[in-house]
Amino acid sequence: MRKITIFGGFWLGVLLSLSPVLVLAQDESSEDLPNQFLTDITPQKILYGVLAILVAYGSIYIIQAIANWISERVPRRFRLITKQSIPFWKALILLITASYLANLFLKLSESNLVAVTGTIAVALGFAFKDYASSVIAGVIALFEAPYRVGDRVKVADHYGEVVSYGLRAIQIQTPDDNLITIPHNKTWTEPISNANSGELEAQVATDFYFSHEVDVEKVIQILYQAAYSSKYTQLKLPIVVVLQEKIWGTQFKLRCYPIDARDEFIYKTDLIRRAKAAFAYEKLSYPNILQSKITEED
Amino acid sequence: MSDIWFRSIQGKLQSWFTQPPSSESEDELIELPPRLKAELLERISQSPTPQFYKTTILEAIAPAVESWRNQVDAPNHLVILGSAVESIPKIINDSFENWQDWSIEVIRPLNTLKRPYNSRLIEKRISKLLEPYLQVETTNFESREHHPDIPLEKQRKTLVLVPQLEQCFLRAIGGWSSIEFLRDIIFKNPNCFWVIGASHPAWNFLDFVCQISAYFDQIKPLPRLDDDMLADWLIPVAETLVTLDEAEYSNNDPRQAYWDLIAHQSSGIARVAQYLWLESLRIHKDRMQDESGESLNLEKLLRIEADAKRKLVLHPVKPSLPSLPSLTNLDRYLLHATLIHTTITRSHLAQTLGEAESQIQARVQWLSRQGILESCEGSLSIHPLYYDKLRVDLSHNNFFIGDN
Repeated sequence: MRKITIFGGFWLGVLLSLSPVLVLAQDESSEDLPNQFLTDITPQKILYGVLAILVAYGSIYIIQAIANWISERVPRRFRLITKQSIPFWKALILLITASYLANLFLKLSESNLVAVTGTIAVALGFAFKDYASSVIAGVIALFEAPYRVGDRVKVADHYGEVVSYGLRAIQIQTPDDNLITIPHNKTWTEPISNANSGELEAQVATDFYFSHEVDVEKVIQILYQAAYSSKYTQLKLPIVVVLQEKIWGTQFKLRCYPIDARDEFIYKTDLIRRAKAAFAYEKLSYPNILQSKITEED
Repeated sequence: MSDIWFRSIQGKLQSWFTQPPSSESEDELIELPPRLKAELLERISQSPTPQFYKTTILEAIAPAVESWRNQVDAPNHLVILGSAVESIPKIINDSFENWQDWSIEVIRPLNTLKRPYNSRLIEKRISKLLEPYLQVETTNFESREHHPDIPLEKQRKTLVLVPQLEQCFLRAIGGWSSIEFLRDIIFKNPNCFWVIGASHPAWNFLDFVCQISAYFDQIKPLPRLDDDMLADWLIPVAETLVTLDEAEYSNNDPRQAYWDLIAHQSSGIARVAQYLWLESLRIHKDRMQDESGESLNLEKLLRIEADAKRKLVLHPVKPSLPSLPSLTNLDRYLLHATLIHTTITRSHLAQTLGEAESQIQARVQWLSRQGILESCEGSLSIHPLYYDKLRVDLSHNNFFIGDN
């Protein structure tokens, strides 16, 4: 039922969009109308058109597969550059195919071009509003780059690595290995948080909690050493420890960068493991949550 | 890092355009028998340190010691930096064999220092090793006696060698407090002059974690050996066992380009050059067979040559560094950790990687089988032939390597 409505809307759009042309061509017979826009459609042209679509589809598939294959094999430094080229190649193939098909089936005179683009615009406006909005947002996002393939982004409640940049949507792979498809038009309304923005490194913030009596200097020293000694740490980037006071204790936040943003969670685990071993060795006290609750209630 | 890439490309181009160094067809030549190769390697390893290294070190030390003995506030240290595959302790110790200033006593308290299993105990180990040397104060710095009436050069007559700084730390929490401890001892013992040997990766790491360069600014990197220096060093050692074929070219001798290629591919590092040179030596396949066509073993071959009062002739071919196999991320972390520590035991490697020993064992075995890691007295180190390519690979994979 929904499908019928969409297609009904589409044809209504086409009809409405043709109205200016109808006015322009009021003296001509209605049989001549397709001839004004369309070239002679022969079986050979249809075959070429189908072949062009198949070639474009195949090319996109192959380019994506090759780029993904290469990006996982080249040194890390080149991984993101390789991945980020995928949307460009896809857009190029689509543009060439669309131009070829338009040239094959349409008479692209100046007035026809205005009429056809108007037609498509209105048709899309009525029937594929969201789709068109996503496609346009996707094209704009190519230039504005709020996210690129390989970036680690958070859109709405979803966080993960952008693994695919499609015509209509991106796909992100979450830490739980789920693949989430998010249309580009989310960029109009949703805030997008990008952790690495085209870089290999993304900051990792790890929280540690201690009682108020803890030796702050000792904890800070251990946290710095935990970061410096981790095999994942990018030493070229800053390492910072910040503190915050809570009712129940002191919160320490260790901010540092892994060599590869993909190691984010394993890096965090490594930092916690190292730090906890050192805290246990130094017998540093953790906050007593129960005691804090009682105090809070009092 | 762009320097590493540039040199790697330059090396490849140079290799393509270098003429083969021997007039023998490469099809007629075969690799050296493993025992002959091992014998040659043994002789080269036991050979004296290249003279240029020794001269450079002594020339750097002489003015530094001179100024330390004459000026109260002059620095009392000199750091010798070399590549992570170079045997820096041997180079430093060999250099001091020619030390002729008898007014200064050279002591080597940390020559035998090895990292203890618990890296937090390195500090204690250093302290214990320094204990017998009364010239070096390790505690009660404040109570040190000052003798303003005694001339400075009479007070300052001890030179302490710390040939391998890498043994003084481990990349783990609390693992480099020993470096800070040693730093304090050095600064609070101005009457001793300290010569410290370290590798570039270790120094770069320590510079990040405890800003070591801020305290030790007198640094002398080991120089690069050029083609002539390498030829002068290696040929006499090899010729104690074999002889090398003579070039038959009247002009445009390709042997010069051959040594130049070795110097370039090895980045002028003596230990890389010696392996590279050894790998480039071939033997004529006819020499490995007797007149009846039966293959000869090495002893028999050397005996035949000795009876004929001549030496076995070896022919060089174009030298080339082996390619790295495909590495996993764990391999890279493991190799990077080994590079920082120069030599490291399996248990320390596991500690620094934050993994159980059993978890890294399989990869260590694989890397050893591939020849990238070599094992000596229970410690692992990077094989010199893979050093340069490994640095390029690690730098491409966003690891911090630093300058060399």
